[in-house]
Amino acid sequence: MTDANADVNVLLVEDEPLNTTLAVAMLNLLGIQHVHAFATWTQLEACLAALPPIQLVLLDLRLPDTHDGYYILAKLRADARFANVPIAAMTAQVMPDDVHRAEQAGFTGFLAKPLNFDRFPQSIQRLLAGESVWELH
Amino acid sequence: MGTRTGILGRLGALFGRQTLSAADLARMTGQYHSPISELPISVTDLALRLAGQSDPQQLLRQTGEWLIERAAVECVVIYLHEPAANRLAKPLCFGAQLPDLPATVKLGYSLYGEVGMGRKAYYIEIISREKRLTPLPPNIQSAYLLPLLYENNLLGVLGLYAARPTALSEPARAAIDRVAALIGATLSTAYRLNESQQAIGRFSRFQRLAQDLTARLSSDELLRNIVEAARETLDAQMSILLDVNFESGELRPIAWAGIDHATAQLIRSRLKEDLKGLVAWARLPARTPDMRADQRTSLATQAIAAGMVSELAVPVLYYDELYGILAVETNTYRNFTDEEVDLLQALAAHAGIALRNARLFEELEERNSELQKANAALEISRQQAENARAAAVQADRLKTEFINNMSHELRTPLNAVINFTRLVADGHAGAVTDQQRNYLAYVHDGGQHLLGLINDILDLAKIEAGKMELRREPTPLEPLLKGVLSTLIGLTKDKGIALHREFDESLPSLNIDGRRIRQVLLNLISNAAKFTAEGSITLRAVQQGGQVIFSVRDTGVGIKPEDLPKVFEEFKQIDNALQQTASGSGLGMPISRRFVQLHGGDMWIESQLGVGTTVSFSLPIL
Repeated sequence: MTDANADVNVLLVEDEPLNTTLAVAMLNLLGIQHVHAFATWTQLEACLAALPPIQLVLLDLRLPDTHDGYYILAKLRADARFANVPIAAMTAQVMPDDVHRAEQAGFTGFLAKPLNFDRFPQSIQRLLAGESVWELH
Repeated sequence: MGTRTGILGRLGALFGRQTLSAADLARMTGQYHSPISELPISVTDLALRLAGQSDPQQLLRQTGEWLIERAAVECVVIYLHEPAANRLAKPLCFGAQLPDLPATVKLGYSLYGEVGMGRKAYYIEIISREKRLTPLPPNIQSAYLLPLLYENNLLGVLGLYAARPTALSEPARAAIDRVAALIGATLSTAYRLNESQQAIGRFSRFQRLAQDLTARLSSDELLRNIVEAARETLDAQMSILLDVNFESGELRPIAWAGIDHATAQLIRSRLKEDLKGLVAWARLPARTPDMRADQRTSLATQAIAAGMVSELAVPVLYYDELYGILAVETNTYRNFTDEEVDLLQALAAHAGIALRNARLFEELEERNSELQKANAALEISRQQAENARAAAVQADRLKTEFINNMSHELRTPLNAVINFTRLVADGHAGAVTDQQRNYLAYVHDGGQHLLGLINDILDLAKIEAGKMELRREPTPLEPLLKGVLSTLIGLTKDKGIALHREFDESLPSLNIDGRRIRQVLLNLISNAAKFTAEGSITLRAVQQGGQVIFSVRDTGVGIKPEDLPKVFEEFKQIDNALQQTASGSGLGMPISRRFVQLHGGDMWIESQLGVGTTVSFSLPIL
């Protein structure tokens, strides 16, 4: 499993550095070496063209200013390179309304924070396999 | 009747009466030749002159001038009788002028008054012997005063003053008597004509009032019109309408004419107390020629102070209901006639209708205003309810917002706490000693507990906001129950408690949110474990009719009967002799019961202190 993910590129947008570090560490446990992390849409947008092909996008929802996870999702979905890439919300906003909104917006999956340490690897593998994964607790 | 032609016919027409006898006419038309001037004082001549004259003033003027011209007298005076005031007034003077002539003479006083009262002519042959006759034109030798009568009614008094002694001698006086009779007859006719014209005027005034009643005049305006009409038609100085309050017995002015507001406000009365009060009380008209002398009006001092003398008052009735009284007063002595009483009563009837309408309108307004008040009160309570609702909505929104924020803000650090602890404890950050692993487990469990608390609060908030959505799907019960037991087997094994199961594969599938029911069962069993030191915990499930009954039975410390109701209260924890400190959020049981209720079932608890506790719930088979 570790070798299988060696070439996987994950795009992460997360404004809390601690959470970025954690996500990278947990992804590393799955053998994912390439995590492209950005704190804001502005940063991401500047580098978007230079990114290699991405197999999975993890988006925090609550981000500074109006460029939140939903905004980025819409931007990425409009980009041909991301049209078929699984994009999952990774957020501490877990109220029914938030989950509903994420579903409506077109996220492939939903990983509630705190992340479930034991189920996280499985969730990522399923997302990479193209499954829809909704981890609400 | 055919013989009555020419002068006779004209006279007949003039008198307007059929009762005039042929003898009367012969006497009236008899001729007399003045011995001095040789000019005849022909009554016929006067009658011709006066023919067709219906204005009393013109009639008297022509008569006076004719007498000066034909009767060889220096001065002629005519006083008119005012029956209402019981006096002679409006003197006319022809020939030599008498500027000092009194404007009015009371009947019975002075020579003119005596003649009027006694209705007998008075001849003064030598004027110097009768000092009472004043004023006098110069050089007068004799005077003749005689009443103007018609059918024994006094119309006035005629006075002639002569310088020549023979001018008023016996034959001349006889002719003058006939002239007086003619004046009386023609004056009476003119009066009657006037009266009928007045009657016509009154009639049209009544007609206008009747129209006013049906027109949309305000009642104030209407009542003003009525009192003004009363004052005018009865030729009074003032008129006033008082309404009656039966509770206080007071009569208060509501409309008046001929006096100002301040004076009107002084005119008050009480039932039975004075003339007005008696009229109101007896509901009958009353009149007095002189209030000052009338005992009934002894209390009407204000009216007397205002200079009023005579009064006529009638009740204002609408059918049998008394609304007030209408009164007219004059500043001169006057005997009100029956006809005038009728007239005022007719006006009072109009006032009655007006007041009745006004009262109906007032009642309507009052009811209207009560309705409006009730409406306003309703509107206020509606607004209060609306405000309360808005406040509740606002409070709810703030609460939801707060809970959302709190959840988000606590989850973010907990994400780091829980997962970094696991990373370290699992050796992904280097070798870990057993003691370190133990300590890290404490941190991890603490984080998990905190997360559980947050999830419980969120669940409760969702349920309360009606936003808890069940994700129902057909769920086989046996695997679910087995899964719960396998999750908890470690917990009970560590404590040395047996975990029994009393269910089998015959259990049906239920259309439920399996995750929530699992949450409920985990909560009940871990609760049981907390309160059980030794013995066993049994998970039981049986189908009973249209539902499945689940129960978790322990052999623990049990719960005191008085504590049982607290079990399902939020944030209430039951004393546990087994634990030094309370653990858990106090939300597990209330939330569990809510979840069961959301599924259409119910939850209950039975316990015996020192023996054990059984918590059961039902789920309907849908």
